Amino acid sequence: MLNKINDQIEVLMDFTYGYPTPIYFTWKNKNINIENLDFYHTSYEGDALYHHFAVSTKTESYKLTFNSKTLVWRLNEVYTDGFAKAHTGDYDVYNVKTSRGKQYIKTTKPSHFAH
Amino acid sequence: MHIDYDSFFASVEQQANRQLRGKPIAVGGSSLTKSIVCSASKEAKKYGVKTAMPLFKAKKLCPEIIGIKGDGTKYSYIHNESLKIFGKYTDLVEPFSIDECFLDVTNTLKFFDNPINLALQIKKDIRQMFGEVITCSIGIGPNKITAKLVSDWNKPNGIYHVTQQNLQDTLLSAQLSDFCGIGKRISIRLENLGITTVKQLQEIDVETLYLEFGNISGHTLKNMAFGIDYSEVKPSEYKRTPKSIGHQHTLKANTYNRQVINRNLLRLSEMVARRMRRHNVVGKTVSLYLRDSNKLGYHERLTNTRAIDNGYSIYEATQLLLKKANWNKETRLVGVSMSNLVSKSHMPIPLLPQEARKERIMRAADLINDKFGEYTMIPANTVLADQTKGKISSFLKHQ
Repeated sequence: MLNKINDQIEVLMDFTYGYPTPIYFTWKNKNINIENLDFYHTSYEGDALYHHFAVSTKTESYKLTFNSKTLVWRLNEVYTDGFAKAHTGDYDVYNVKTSRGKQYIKTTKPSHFAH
Repeated sequence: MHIDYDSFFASVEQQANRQLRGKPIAVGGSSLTKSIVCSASKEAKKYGVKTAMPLFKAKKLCPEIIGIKGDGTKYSYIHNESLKIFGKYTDLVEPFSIDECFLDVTNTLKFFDNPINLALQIKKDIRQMFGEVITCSIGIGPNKITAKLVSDWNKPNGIYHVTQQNLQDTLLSAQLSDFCGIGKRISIRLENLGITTVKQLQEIDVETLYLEFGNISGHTLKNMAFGIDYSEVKPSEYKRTPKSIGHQHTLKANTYNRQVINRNLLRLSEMVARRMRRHNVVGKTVSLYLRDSNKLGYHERLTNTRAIDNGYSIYEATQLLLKKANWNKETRLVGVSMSNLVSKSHMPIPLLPQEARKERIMRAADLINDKFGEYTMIPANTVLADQTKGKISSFLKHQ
């Protein structure tokens, strides 16, 4: 179930790998450890730049937003439906069709998610 | 090379929300009960859910389908970042739509062993940048038409390479409707000439095509059948002046109320005018589109002697069209569009004081909306209109 929330939160970020990675956030006096950074994107509202982080724990998904103009973090959404299946994503298999016929190419998972 | 993201909006939503992965989802508009499916996930496609299908029909086919409201900011971000990724491999990158791009890699291919390696490298970059759920299919061919033709053939996450050796076999295995540029209407006209396969199109006398489609389209169709295309990949900096700008909106509830219709027409007129000013164009032809509760459409247009880019002037023209239509049906959808567009730099500066004042007010409102966000300053009588944001179509805003 999707819950729309607009609470101000505190977030601990890690910049070790050259890109921002949220480690945990504090919401309603509770520290929530982030397991995965699923998606990152930016958007503008007027000239204010927003950084959006879609993150997940073992059981829930969250959408966090940082307003770079006011320097405020907000928790926008919590999604608590449960996972359909474990997504390992250890490797990718590409279908490749060439003049020599069909081949499958297996590649290993990149070591870092580049955000 | 033609790159096409697989189930683009749906896979972005599944990437952004881990809990949607492996579930049938459909990305639609703001009204999830009345909107259409903009993109269905591969799990939903297994049930027969297709793009542009009304969401209620999708629910009948797949009762457990999850409707997700589209978020244009995510899609435009990926579009813009993808252009940066592709720009690493060639300077000739032409965006074809929000999830499709043409790349001319003729000059940079020498740095890779073969085109497949290049395609795999691009796929790896996309995966590293956006995550494992967002995948793309790549068609590689000697020109745009063949690359576009085959990019769909090995979905999802596929690569299809057309060379001179397999070109003829590839073309003969294609349906006519697979070609970009052969839609329903052209297919029917070809059928009337007795052409239903690529082989028949290759064999038909070119004069017959000229008679039916004219010299230019007839020649293009003939070339298409042999996989010949001389069009160049135009880099993304090459900005085309739009031919028309329009917005449509499905009302929250079907209505006879003229006030509600007018409010929404004014809001759409303002949205169209704002986009025209952003493109620095003015237009002469105003079109009104209405759809009733039985989904029957009505379309009427009016060409002014003077080109305009002012929301209220567009709205006034829609009022004339509405009067002419004598519209008294229950309304489901309203739409406004402007065509016959020319660059504003060709237009004279307004000399009448009231016109100059209108222009100054418009500029001031645009500056405020640029700084504080869309809809910060809007005409008072649009406040009660449905809140349409039109974000998906404005994907090039921050490019």
